[in-house]
Amino acid sequence: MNLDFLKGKKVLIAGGAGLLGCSLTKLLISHGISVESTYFSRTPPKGLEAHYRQYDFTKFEDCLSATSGKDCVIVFAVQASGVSGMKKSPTTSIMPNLQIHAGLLEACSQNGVEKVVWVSSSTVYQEAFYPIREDQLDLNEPPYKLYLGVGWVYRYLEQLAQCYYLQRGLQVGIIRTANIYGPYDHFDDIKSHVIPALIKRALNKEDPFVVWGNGYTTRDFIYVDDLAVGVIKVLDKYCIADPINISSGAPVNVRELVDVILKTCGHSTTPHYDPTKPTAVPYRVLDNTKFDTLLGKIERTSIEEGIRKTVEWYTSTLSRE
Amino acid sequence: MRKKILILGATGFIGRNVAEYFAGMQDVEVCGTYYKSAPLEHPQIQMIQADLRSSAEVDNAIKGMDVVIQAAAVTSGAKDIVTNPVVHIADNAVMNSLIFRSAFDHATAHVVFFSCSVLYHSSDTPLRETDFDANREMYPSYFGGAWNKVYFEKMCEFYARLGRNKYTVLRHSNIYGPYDKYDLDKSHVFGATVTKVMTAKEGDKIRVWGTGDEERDLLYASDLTRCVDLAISKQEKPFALYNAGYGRSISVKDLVSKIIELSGKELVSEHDLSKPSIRTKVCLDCTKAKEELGWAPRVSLDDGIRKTLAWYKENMLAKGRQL
Repeated sequence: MNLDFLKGKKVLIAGGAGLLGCSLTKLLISHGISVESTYFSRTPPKGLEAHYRQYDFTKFEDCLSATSGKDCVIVFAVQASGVSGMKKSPTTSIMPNLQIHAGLLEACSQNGVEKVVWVSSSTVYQEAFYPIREDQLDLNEPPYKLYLGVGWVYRYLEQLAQCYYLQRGLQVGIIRTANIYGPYDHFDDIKSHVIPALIKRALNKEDPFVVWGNGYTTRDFIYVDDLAVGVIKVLDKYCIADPINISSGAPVNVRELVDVILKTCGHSTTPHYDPTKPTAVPYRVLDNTKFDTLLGKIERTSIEEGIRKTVEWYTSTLSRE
Repeated sequence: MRKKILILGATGFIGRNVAEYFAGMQDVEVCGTYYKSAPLEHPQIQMIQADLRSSAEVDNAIKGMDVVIQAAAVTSGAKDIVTNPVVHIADNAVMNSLIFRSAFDHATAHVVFFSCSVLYHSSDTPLRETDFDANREMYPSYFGGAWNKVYFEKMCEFYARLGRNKYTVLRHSNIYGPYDKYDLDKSHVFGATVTKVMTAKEGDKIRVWGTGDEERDLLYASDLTRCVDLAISKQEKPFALYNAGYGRSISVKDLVSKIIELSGKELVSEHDLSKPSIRTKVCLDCTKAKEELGWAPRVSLDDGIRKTLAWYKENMLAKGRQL
């Protein structure tokens, strides 16, 4: 991958303590790029502390000071919490998402930042049972019911980003991504996503191994380092406020996922599926044709390899503790 | 028990009309917020100072209210929209999001939100609520403001579905009447024309921005406040959205001629084609508000203009001040 376009540039990674932020921070540092990553409630990853600074982006002053003097800014979505979190408290992610992203866009514009990549979310899409293309988003249909609120926040923010591009000339790339997994995911969080939650339970040899839903929920899991490459490509060539999907493009259902995880963790049990428990949107897969055609196909890590790397990372952090 | 009604942005044009309308009523207690403008001095309106971009100040204002009417906004006329289009977009987004969340957290029984016809596309026929098409490109100058309104409407619907409180959205057309912005730098077409006409000397020329062919649906302020009143007393669903407009449109050039005529002055209009104008035709079909709320506008355009001119003469010219 060519990172020459970033030589001599100052890059800010806003929301850098999440798994995508950690992956990108490491990638840029390894190529000698000047990076400042931000954290708020989560601690910066071990060994990378020197590159991290704490900001509270719900405060506009922090948006301004963090983006000041930066050439490129990469902004990640505040990850929506898991299914049970969304059910219990559907309103909590609305305000921080809106405030942080609107504030950062305005601050980037005010500070004359050259390029911005803003990572939106697949929650903008209506329910669909096929890999969905960017232009198949139908704004007259609601987002999937569980994501109604946060889905509309992201739909709005995409329009806001476009507004800054069209009317203030801010070069901004918009990425719609699916479920991200990999090292630096938050395994101890009660809000943790499906993959870290399952890995943790498999390593604990939980038996019976109960999985929520009927197991046929289909997802498009992207390994975090693959997405990081995609983000860099968009930053290089596609900051024109036109949303572009980046995911694995390979649908996996929960039963397949559970089998891979159990096998990787060496836990031989028969999983029990509980269809009475809530699950999110039954099918969410993104069509990656636009990205592959315009920016070149990324080699994507298979789910088996991605899970293996994630489990290795997690067990190595456990043994360090 | 008296119903507590809070008008957010009570010193603004629409907010002030709404606040004064309710202030005269027996069974309500009226509160209003102000920020940088001077508070209203009205014995029946309790004024609260609040910066609505601050979560704590929003909570403080909304706590304990039965009805919240959201009329606060940082707005600009066509001149500002064209020269600095993104101004205040993000600010308004944050402010409204804080308001909706606070009303939800405090279980405010009813929230009334003013959306507006800016989100409709130009059309030769009157537009119904369902004619809004989110997939169509917005008119470029209105892009940010219109998407803000769409987003706020969706947030009202989202909170309404959680079943704790009731939301009514009024998509109003261009409102005119007392307390409009008449300062030429900030005003919309109606207010600007009234000021130009009323301050002109006999024989002066009244300059119209652009061709004047764009058509507007103009609703007199008291008709909108009556619609709010009916929504509060009759709207029973968790979420409802209504058009509130005059139902007929008039071109800007005809409007200017009409204001000149009703002023009784000898003036002529001329067009400044170098100035921006937003060339659309919008006219609202308000059948839904009529059927569900029993609302229809009562003040004709001619009467509304006469009332406005009389108000201007008494309050602006006679006192020689800018509101």
